[in-house]
Amino acid sequence: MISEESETISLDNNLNLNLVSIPGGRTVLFSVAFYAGAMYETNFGKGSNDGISHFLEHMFFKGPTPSNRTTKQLNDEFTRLGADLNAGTTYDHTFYYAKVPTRNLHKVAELWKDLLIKKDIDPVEFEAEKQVVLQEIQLYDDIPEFKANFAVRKKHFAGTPLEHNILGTLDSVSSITLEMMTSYIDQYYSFDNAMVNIVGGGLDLKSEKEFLSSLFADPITNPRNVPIYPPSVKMPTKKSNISFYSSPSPKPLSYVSLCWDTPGISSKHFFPFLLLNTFLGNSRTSLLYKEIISKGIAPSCNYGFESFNDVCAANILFFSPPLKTDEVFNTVIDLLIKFKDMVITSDEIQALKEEIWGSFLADIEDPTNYGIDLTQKHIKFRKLLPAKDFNDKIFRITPEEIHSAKDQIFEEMNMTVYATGTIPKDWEPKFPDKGPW
Amino acid sequence: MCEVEIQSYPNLRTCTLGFVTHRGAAHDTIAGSTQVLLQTIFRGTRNYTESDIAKMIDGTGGSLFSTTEKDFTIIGAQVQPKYAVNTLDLLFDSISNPLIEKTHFEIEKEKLLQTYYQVQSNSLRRMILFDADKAVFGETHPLSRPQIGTPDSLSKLSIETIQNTQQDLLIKPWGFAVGNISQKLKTQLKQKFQEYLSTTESSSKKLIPFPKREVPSKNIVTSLAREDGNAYLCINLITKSNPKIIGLARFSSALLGESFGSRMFTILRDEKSFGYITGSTLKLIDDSLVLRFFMETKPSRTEEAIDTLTEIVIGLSKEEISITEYNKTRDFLLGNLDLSFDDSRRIAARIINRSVHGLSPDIEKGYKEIQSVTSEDVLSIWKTLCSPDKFSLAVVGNIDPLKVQERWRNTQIS
Repeated sequence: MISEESETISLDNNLNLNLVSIPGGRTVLFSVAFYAGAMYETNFGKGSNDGISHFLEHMFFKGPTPSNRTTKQLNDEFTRLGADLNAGTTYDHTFYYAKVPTRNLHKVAELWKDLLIKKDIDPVEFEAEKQVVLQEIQLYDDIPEFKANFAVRKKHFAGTPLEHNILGTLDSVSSITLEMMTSYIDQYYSFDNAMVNIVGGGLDLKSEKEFLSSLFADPITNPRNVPIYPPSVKMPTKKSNISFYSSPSPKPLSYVSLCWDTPGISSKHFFPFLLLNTFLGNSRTSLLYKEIISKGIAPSCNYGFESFNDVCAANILFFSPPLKTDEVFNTVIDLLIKFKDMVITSDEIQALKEEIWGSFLADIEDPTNYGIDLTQKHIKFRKLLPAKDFNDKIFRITPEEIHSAKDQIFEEMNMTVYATGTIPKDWEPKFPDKGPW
Repeated sequence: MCEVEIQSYPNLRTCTLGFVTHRGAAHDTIAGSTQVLLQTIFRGTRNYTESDIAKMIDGTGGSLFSTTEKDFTIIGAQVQPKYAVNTLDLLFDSISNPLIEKTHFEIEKEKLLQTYYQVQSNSLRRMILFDADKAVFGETHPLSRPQIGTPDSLSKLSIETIQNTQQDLLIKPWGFAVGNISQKLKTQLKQKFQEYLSTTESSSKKLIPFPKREVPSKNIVTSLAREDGNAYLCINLITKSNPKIIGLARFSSALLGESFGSRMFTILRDEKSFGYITGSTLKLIDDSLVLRFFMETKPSRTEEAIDTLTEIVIGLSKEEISITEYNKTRDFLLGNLDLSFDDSRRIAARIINRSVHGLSPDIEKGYKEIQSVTSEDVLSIWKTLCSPDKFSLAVVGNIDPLKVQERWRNTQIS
């Protein structure tokens, strides 16, 4: 087991930086995340800023900066540092990172400082980048898997903050103005709404702490001192229900996405639910793999979930030849019913724990994954959750808790189904009477 | 003689190990054979059931992988070091004693057929996986065949073909293990590798060399996808590979399209807002080196995109690189090399790619190779590379194929 050391720096200007040193590595990830994402966007229609978080993600790495760096200079400087530079927008946060050789940490930190206090947006670059964002929306719209997953969530969570499409729409992004973006930056891009994680090899924590404390001590952003929590996701009172939507498109296969809601982070069922996720999909040990993929029912059947405080959004996406859509759908539903009544043995639970832990260790080998994992957990749990603590929580779960969580998920289930691609004429999903619907 | 490459990186948490063979998808007598085989071999072997495999690998947080390149194949796994020896046994059993059951064969063949339709239905995937190689090597050349086969080839595939393909995997395979490997584990793995590989030495089968590439100068492949909102294009440059040219080509690829500071990113995305996707790659295929420069555009701007991308690519043959740009590219590549040591699977991929194409498996040599490239060398090599017979173009999307073809033919490459 590799042992790492960590350190947290809390500055007077409300900026918090977490440092994790992994012995021996050559690189370091400098990541910044803001509590700002699609859930924070305002409603649809006129005055909507749907898609602004993602658009701002595109604008973040552009000049002019307070030190008068242009976009070109920023790009050139990151390139010269050998940076793997990337960013992502989610429902509840937007993150940015640069992974560089450890020797370049100080130089990259100086660039981050410039970017973190940046307020100005160049109007010409704003309009130019808007075109790139519109192209990106089109790109994902042309990929049926993305289209189905975006659409099913939008329908399932209609009326809640999860209704927003992370990318926005061609219409909504076209109508975002420079003023709207400046106002969004003022509201969300401040130090007390940010977290910085620095994870990597060969860090001397003492000297890095000194350097970073001094570097970031000066700049002040508009402090609010009260973290802005994401708007809560209040689902309608649970009542077993099924909704079906479709949008055929001229693709040779059919793509079907199923979405339902499960216990959120604040629920006592959350950690047992994580174990159940591993049991259900996607590795070779999972139920979906064994019963759908391995048996050739469908060439692809992916399970995913995203967790929030009040709710988790779970979904299964499969594609199949159009004529097999009904068969695959029925098999997936039968499997969920089987899963509901299944007794998971103590040995199976122990094996799931080992799989989660082993997979986590492999995943965090790369500082990028380690930093992203740390950030996500920090965002979700509103506190740093070191690997050891997370592991302890997983390993303490009892069989009773597992079954109680499963009962809760299936007690009453709202499910939304969305189909795109070639959909057989008049096809509608049929749910058996014996299920939780 | 058995070949084994074992490299230890004590700071890592995992170990990636497996086997490589020079038998690739382009050796398939029926396209898709290797890929179907690779999907079948993890379904059970003489000594391990599918359930055993799932428990051994996935159940311990590891992952199995198999990669079918055009000219080589990898079968491997990334696992915690304590499981490395047992995993090696499983991997060798997978290539030497797979069960290849009829049911599994049919299931995997059907999966591949659906995957084909999935790729075909998206312009970007189609360009990368199908059309780019067709443009470079010509429609019927073995190196152009999709690794995953086609509906026609898959319909002709029999279990006997797959069994023959499996025998080909045993033509001089070699082993690799990379990651957190202690001295004791190294000794154990070395011994095991030798034991396994010695049983493959008797294979007398030889792989047939690929036919000569015969395509018109400035070949073009266009595919119409009316339903898609974007179009994608890829300019390809092919030349004979050798260690000197690989270093220069990688430097050129980085300078033109691999970073935010590259010429393609600056011009195509920041200045002209063509689209979201832009980049370049270098691929070694058989004895050739292929550079690809790809981008996204609105269909209505496709011809403008062809002109702009061509101008950027051939621009490298027109004037010497400035000191600033040279330093930026060199430092990017040096840093990028550091980044490739972050996980065992990435290191393994780099070692394999180098070894298969006749370069030293010592990836640390990469630092010297980068530093040995000069600005003058790049200019000089690009003057020789910029000839129409080396260039080709693939375009996919809701385009007017005739207009696109005409524009490409009128483009000056010299």
